[in-house]
Amino acid sequence: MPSKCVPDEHHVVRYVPWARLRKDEHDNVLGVLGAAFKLRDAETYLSATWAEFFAAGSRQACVIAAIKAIRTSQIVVRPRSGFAVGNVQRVKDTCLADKQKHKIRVIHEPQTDNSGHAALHGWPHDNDPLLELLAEDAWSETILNKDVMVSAVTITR
Amino acid sequence: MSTIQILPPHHDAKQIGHFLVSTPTGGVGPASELIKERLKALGEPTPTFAATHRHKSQGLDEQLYDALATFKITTAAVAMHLDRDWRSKLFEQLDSLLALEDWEAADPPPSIESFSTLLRMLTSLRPERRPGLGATEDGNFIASWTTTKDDRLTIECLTGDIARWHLAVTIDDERERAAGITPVHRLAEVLQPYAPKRWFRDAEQVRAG
Repeated sequence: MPSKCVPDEHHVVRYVPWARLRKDEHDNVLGVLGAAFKLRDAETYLSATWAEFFAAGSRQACVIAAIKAIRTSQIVVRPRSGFAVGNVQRVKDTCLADKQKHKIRVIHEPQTDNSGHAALHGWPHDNDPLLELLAEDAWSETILNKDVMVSAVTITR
Repeated sequence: MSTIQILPPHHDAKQIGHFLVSTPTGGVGPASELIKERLKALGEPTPTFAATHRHKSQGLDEQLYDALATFKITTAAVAMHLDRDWRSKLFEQLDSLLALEDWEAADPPPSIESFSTLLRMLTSLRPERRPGLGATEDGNFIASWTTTKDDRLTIECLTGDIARWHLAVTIDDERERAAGITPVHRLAEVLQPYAPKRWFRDAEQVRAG
């Protein structure tokens, strides 16, 4: 399947481990930490899942479909983990507005275990303030894994 | 002939550090130096808890158990500077953060060096409110505070008592951000222009969504 850009009006969903969720002192989840978007040393792009690829109807339905795709991929989704949902245009704009002017390309790159896999190329390796800003704003919508049943989700913002 | 069964001494990590015999001290200056010395000594790996160079052959559950035990023993060394209830709840947060069922297999447990920095920071700032705890993919603790007005303070605890911090606050309806890398002993001074009590006082507690 040829690669193509994910449309700007669409959304990407990223798996966020428990350790990268922003919490209060009682472990109530408030959102995600900037560290949720940090590349590991060997990574050359940031991985996410294209929600609308699954064409499940409403945006919420698309997001749930993407989460289900992540659950069936090689990622081991832990009970108290979460998912961050971001609009492609807003993520790109936020990165471009940074003083380092990161130009991000969001490419649909299907993988054998996740046909909706999206790769965010041009992602910075060392720009923590930008990652914190994304976690606070453009990529802050957070869904907890435990809240995703068949039909209902609770969105924390 | 009777059989004696010997079980491996695998204690409950959640109980480590809860029972302490310590004499509180009142002095601030000498106490600060004492904490520094104790944390420095405890930051060194020991034969029992070689947390900085864990054997790769160790299973993840053992690594997490060892790390948790090390963190609690380290905390016990400065227990006189932490309120008992406050410390007990910090331990619960550590138990929760390092829970095996929620830990990413690709992540190393946070390092003892990072924990020493976290502890040094907490005993230096002495916040009424404990931070939310997180961890980076490369083994550093993250402490974060968030207020009802979404004023955020996020501190990554690097090795050697160094803090990488970010904050976002709304002052006079303007969103303001700042970031820096600062020795822990200077954090209070560096954060002062942003009225850090907004994060550290209980009254500013955020309500979870």
